[in-house]
Amino acid sequence: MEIRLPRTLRGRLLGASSLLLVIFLSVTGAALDHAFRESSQRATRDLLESRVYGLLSAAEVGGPGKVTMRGTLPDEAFSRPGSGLYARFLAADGGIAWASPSLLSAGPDPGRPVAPGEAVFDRVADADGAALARLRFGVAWELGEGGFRSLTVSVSESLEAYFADLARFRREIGAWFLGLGLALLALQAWLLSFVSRPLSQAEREIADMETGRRERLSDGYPEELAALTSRLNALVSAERARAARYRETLDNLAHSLKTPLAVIRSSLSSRHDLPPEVDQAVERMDDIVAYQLSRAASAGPSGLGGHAVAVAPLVRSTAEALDKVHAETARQWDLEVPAGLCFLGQRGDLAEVLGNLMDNAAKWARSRVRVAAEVSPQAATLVVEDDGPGLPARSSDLAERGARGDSKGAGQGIGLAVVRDIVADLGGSLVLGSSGALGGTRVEVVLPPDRVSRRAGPRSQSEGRP
Amino acid sequence: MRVLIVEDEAPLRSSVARRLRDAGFAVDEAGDGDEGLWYGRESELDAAIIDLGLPGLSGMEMIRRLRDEGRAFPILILTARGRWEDTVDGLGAGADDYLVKPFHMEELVARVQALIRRAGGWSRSVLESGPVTLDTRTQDVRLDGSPVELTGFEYRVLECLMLRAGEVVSKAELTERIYEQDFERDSNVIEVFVGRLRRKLDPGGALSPIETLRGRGYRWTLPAPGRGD
Repeated sequence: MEIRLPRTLRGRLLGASSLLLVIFLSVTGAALDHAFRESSQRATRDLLESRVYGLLSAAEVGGPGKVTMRGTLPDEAFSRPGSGLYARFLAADGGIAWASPSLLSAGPDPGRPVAPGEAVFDRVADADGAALARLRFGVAWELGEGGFRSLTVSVSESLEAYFADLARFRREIGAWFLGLGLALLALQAWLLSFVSRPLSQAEREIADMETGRRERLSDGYPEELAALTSRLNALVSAERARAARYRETLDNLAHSLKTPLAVIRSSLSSRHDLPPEVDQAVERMDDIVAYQLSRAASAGPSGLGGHAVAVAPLVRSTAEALDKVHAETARQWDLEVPAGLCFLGQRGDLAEVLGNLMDNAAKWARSRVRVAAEVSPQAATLVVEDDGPGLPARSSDLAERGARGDSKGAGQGIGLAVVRDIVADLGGSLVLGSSGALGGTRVEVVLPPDRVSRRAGPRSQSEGRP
Repeated sequence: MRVLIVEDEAPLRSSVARRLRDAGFAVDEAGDGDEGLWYGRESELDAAIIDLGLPGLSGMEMIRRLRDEGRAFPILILTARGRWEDTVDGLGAGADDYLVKPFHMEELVARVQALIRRAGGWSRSVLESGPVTLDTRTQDVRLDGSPVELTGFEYRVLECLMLRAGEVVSKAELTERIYEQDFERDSNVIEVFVGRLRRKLDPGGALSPIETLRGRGYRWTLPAPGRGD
């Protein structure tokens, strides 16, 4: 059988120490119980022995099989019928030589006679099944004419009082141990949470870093953790620096490739004797450079280096920017992005997705473009739709590299391909279709729900220090 | 029309400048952001073309400063990266249009013309005012549908006045926008151009499309229905 261990260190620690505590308390309880029973058994035996001696000192052995008592019996309970204290003298053959008056009926079994000098302490049950302690004590009674008679004194005493004591003892011990156990468990839980507070803090801070609410782990962790957290900080800042350097290199590359291309193209435009293939070649080079650079620059899933980018403001400024770019025609923007919705990743990626999709929609729309974002527990969805003529039937080729869905502007096909790649890197998907509400094209970006958050603003640095 | 081009790559800058001059613009050239900012402050510009990837003062910062100082001329940004983030930020900082390198010269010129036209409140590329039509793309000027032959300088003066129809344009402003260099400037010549324009556009003397406001400048008087304010 497989044992399912708790999944947190805290759970394991708490479970293990609680188990230890329970074992410790049970063993201690059992030992105490045993010691109590031992000592009360010994006390019972001592008591019975003293009763035997009392009886022997009062006994007088007469004729064969005859024992009489001188004067009063050592305990009045021997005389009271049904008192729970019974005594019998047994002859060597087992015959009863004397029975205490407390024995009205047969009483508990007196047992077999024992050899002289022997004492047997045991337990016996009476006719009703009640338990009694019994001591049989063998004596050789010296008779006047130099002979001896073997006699066995069998004394039985009810264990009722002992059982009552034991029950009370167990109740008390149980109550004490229960209280002690609970107190210890509570103390332990508190201690554990105290000791593991830096761990919980680190956990929270790492989660905050993942969602971009925090740049780095705070200082002041205990030594054991500080080694880890400071290295994590170093790793994250190195990663950020690397990403920044990478982007810078790409920018330089873009600039140093595209500016010469622009020079070639501008020189070409003044030469009309060149075949059109030259211009087409420049265009293809430009497309390839543009596509590969935007592919490389897209950051993809960001992990610890990401930021929380507010979606609504970026959508709004993209719409404003596009209104400037396409100023020849006016359009109405229906922006339905919930305030406080944040994209967890690189701002450039979101800007690229929004820019390409909204630019296409603005180019094609007759008068309206709708941009809506929605978050459900299953997915985060961004919808861009317009009231334009809609997609041509071969929509699925549109997002393939370099394929152009229109000739209405440069970079269209590449734009959609870049969007598709970015969305795929983020673990999402792109759905092209027709807009039911507006009648034009509808592009839907579906992202995993952990790529967005609905809480706004960074957490203050001072919060959650150990 | 005076246009500033700020681009650090000299061959591209000079070929853009050449192409703009061919299209009838007066051009200021700057190789970096600081120089560009100086021209932006000192020149009477109708538009500026600014590369975002400038050494020193960045294109984005330059646009922001010009806008902060109240310069309202249209700005076209050039970007090498072609990233939407830059474009959106650039337009958000105050630019009006963008082009991704490498671009077609024809497109650049058409965009600059459209920006200037739009800044003047004209939504179409053909300016129509009374019997006069001026096509900013082809520089074709017609009176009652028949073509009017204009010299380059005459065309520029007419374009300046029509773009700002109903507003007073000073002689100094006109010279600034028409001539490349300071030493060429001579405000007396403007009177000559305006006189020739009056003769060519209003041979009968009944239309009087250009009004002279003594000491202040000139004004295009014909109604401009295509210009929405």
